[in-house]
Amino acid sequence: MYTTILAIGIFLIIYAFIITEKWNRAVISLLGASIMVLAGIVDVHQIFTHYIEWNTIALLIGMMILVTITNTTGVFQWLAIKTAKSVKGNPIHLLIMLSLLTAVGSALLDNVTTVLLIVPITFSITRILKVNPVPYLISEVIASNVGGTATLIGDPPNIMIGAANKHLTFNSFLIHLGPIAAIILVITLVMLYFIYRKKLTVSEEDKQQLANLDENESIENIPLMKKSLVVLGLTIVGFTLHSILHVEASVIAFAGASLLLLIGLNEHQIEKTFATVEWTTIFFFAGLFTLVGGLQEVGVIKQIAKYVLDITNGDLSLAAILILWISGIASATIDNIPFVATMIPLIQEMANSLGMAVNAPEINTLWWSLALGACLGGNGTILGASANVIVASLASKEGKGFSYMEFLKIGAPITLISLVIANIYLLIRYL
Amino acid sequence: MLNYQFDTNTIHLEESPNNEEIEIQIKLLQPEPYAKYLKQVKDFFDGNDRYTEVLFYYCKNNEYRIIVKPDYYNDLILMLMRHQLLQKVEWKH
Repeated sequence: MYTTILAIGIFLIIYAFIITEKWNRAVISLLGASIMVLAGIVDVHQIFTHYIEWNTIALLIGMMILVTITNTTGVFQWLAIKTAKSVKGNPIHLLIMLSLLTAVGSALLDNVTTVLLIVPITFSITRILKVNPVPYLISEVIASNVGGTATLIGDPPNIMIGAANKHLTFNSFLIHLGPIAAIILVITLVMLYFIYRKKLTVSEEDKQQLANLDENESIENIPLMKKSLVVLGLTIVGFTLHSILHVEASVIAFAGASLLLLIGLNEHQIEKTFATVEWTTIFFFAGLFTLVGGLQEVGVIKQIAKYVLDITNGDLSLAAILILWISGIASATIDNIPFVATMIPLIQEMANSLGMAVNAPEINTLWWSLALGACLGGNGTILGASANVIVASLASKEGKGFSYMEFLKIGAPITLISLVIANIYLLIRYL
Repeated sequence: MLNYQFDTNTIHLEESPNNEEIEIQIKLLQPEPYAKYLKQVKDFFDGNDRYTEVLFYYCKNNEYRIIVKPDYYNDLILMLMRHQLLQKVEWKH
């Protein structure tokens, strides 16, 4: 009993510190993990063999390396300038196109990486058009979370859910979440269009300045660009085939990254690329998995799962709707990564308690509910998802910050509508 | 603040205020090797963790636009000097 209370106490205190975001979240989660070990709640061997989800970590590192190398070729800048020129500098059309680009990029690369690529380009394009970048940044954040919902690699919650469930393949995510993500994206873009269309104006002179840009000059290394795009393309094809090949998505990502490092970079560049991996995110995940492992070890997750089944009387339809809305609301108020890390073992325990396999169709509905709630709920507030926090801090650093309320006014209604649509989708398709 | 001079046979450089920032338009009359040098200046500012302090735009016909915040103006001028796009830099008195 004492160990259980201690584990819950450590978890809640660390969770609270993470939510406040006053300290580096990786350091806090690793501190919490260390305390769990020092207190004897979980042992190191269990952490490394059972609780740390290495597939999540390897997939993130592999994709970070692939995208970092591709970015150095200037191909993403080329694409963004080309997109801006294709709408002839029309500010609202530009907002829709950049949001669309972000959504597609998020589905194919992952949304955290995509916003890191698109934000500097957005600053550059909006500066030349002399238009406020904030509506663009907010729209891109929202689009990144919706686009990321569509695939296994699109959003950290999906990466975690996919990694914890081998039967949920890249194609499963695409088939089950892709259509609803596309519908929600269209509705979101229509909403953003009506919200911002009268607020954005650009002079003809500034449109001409944009037209004068030469996007081809953005391409800095054509041979590396070709190699990067081929390897990136092969990796995405590999994701769609990973279940047929009986290989984890993380292995595909790592193989792609290794191949590109080998054929594209010299020794010095390889070292530089390794240094650009976002180790803060990686360590944050490792610490978090250990913290949740501590709760699993003392049986807390099992108890909560039993409680959820009790209040739903074992009705999985009701449980699916409950998970969607709880995940949506929770992810809007706290970062969805720690929330999903806690929910994954909880759903596994629910399946065990009902005597069902974690890959049973009924249990899969719970996984889709969790993915939809966590990813779409991330748009509720500025703190809802990693992509939001990253964009907000980058914007603030450049003197173009936006407030919690400014984001909430746009994000909350879109989140609410997204969750209602997701709820209807779950009812029609699965329940 | 700084005064500077450049070789008018190889570079045409024009400076103008742009809202609260400064805009520098550069036309390379002799692209090689100066286009490469200008790229090195861009890489220097791309390498730090700020995105909007110095914005580089590639235009057609070897023309470039640089929009720089006042706080980074001196840094930019010194980098242009370091990469031989300017011939002389001196403190304004």
